[in-house]
Amino acid sequence: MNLFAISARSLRVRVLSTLLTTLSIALGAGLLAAIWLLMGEVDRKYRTSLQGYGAIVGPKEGAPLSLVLNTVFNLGASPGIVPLSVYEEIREGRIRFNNRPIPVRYAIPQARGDHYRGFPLVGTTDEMFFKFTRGDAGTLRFAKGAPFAFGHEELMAFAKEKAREHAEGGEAHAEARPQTARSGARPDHDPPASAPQASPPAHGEPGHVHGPECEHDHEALPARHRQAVVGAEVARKLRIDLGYRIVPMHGAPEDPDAHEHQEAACEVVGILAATGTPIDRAIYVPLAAFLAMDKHVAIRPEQAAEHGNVALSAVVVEPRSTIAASWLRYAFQTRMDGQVAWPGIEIPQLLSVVGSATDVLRVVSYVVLLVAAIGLMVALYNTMNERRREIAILRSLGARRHQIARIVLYEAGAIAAAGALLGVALCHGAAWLLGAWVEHQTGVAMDWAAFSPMEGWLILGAVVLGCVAGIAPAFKASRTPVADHLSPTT
Amino acid sequence: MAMIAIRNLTKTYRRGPEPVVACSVHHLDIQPGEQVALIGRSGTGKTTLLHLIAGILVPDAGSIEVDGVPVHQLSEGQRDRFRAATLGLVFQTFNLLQPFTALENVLLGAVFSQGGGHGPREHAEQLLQRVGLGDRMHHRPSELSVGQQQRVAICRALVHDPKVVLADEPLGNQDKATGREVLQLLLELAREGGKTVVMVTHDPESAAALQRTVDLTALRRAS
Repeated sequence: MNLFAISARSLRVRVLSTLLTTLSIALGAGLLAAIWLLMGEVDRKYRTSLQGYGAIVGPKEGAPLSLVLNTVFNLGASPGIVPLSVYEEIREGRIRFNNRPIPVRYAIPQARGDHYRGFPLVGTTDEMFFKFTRGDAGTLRFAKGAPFAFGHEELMAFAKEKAREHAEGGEAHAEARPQTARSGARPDHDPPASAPQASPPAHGEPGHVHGPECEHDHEALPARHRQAVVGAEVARKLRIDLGYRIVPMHGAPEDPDAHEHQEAACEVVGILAATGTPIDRAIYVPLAAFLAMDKHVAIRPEQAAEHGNVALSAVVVEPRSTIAASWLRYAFQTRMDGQVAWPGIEIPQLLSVVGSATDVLRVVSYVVLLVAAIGLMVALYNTMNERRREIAILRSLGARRHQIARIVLYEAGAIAAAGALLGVALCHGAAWLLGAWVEHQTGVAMDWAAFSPMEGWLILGAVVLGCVAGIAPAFKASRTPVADHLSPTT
Repeated sequence: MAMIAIRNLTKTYRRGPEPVVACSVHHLDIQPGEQVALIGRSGTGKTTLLHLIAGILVPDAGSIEVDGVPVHQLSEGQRDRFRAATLGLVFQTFNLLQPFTALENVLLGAVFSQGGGHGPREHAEQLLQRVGLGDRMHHRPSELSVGQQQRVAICRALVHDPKVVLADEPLGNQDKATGREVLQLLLELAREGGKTVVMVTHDPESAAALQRTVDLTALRRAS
């Protein structure tokens, strides 16, 4: 038997009051812990997700942030297209600043648009698997299988072939469907208002139903280009294994214009190891397969002659140095065919805006915690009247004033500690329960088991706050007159 | 030397404009091991005298020495420590704490004098067995009869081995037979431990069971 035991027993007697006060503390602590957990995960996620994306060269139109969000996080639509020539220039060091070539570690072409069961399709080359480097994590690792075989040379050959096709008969094709200018993402599938509507719809047009007549497209794409590499989460959620057949889809399933691209169906040849980044949720296909999808071409007459309408959504670039990065920025300031977006600048700016909102939430949770502490003080203070006899008895047994005060302070501290622990537990429980939903809604995967050292400080802080809240009741308890309250009649 | 020595003691309360003398004792000595019954009409200050001896109240004038300690000169904290170490209190209404079991209530008597540990626990268990509550140790006061509750209170008063036991009408809430039984137990345990007992009572028969009776009405008149 000691003072702690006496405190614990007193709390047990007033179980309802204790529980309610504990819950109010838990609410404030849980809110704060949830904000920390979420912001920590957001920060970690963004930090790790940006690895490898030194710079993103994309279309001139659109905001750099949109380009970053689309390229790195698979969010939103691609702002437009960037000619294949830009990619070539960067990769081959033909872009110069002050007559100096701009050295880059890699330049990886990407084209985006369409999806497979909600997971975005990214057309790229095998350099995404050989050269793309995520800081210390290195290149992307494969859990199963291997990369598809579609490299830079094949992309160039594919572009030349398209250019030849364009020169031979593309004009007529383009005249039949001149409105098929595309930007790689969903908007590129929506016909411009000026588009003359053929009846019945041509292949790939909204309303077109794929049928046996589409088979020529299948045959047009060699089997070696109809391969796919899927991210870890795609494989896990869709239970995909090697050999699985992916048929790209345009539009949401409930969209009446939604249709499958049978012509670009690909077989899964590789499954990436988990990275904890949006790469896990992407499906990578050869650019040839991506561009073989009906309408995934760019009509730019000046480009068409050279590259057969091949265009990209973005080029992922890793400059060799900070100076090279600066040169790249200056070089694109005067160009009209593309712009450079810097994920390392755009995302922190975005987070600082989001951070202001979380600052408000944080203040709210501090206020909730403070109100809960005041509630604790009031609840304890009010019980002091009921407990005068109990206190008087303890004093008659020899308890000193400070011992009585300590008993009350222990109670306040215990309630605060229990509340803070409960709040943190509730926060992690909610992260466990709602993690999948939050990830689906925001793209932020929460690790419910990731305990931050800040949570330790939160619990400690709550205990201190509880003890401070207990000072007034403790003082009142210690001042209880003994003789007046030893008899039940008093 | 007297275990309890009281000289020219006065305690007054202010009720309205006039001070009311609650307790007045000119001279009283109680020897070590002596068992004394304090009797007197209502309002003569029997309970107040017990509280003064226990250091719960402070006299307005006069002196109280218990075991050679001038209680009236001690600070509040010193009085608390003195009470925890030297005195055991038994109340008419038992003053057991309901959230605690019989054993825990007994242990509370030792918390503020000796702290926790196994020593007091063993002693508490022995005492409870001694008073016939070996099978009721883990029952709460509400689960015990009136007589059993008072036995628990007696054990609590004795668990820290005090030199003086102060009992304030310990039999007041019990029927005669139970009261007699409890009184015998209290006196027997006190005698075994050589403890001084000061008991306030209204019952002449109970008072007769103690070695000496002090009539506070007479003492007050004398002072």
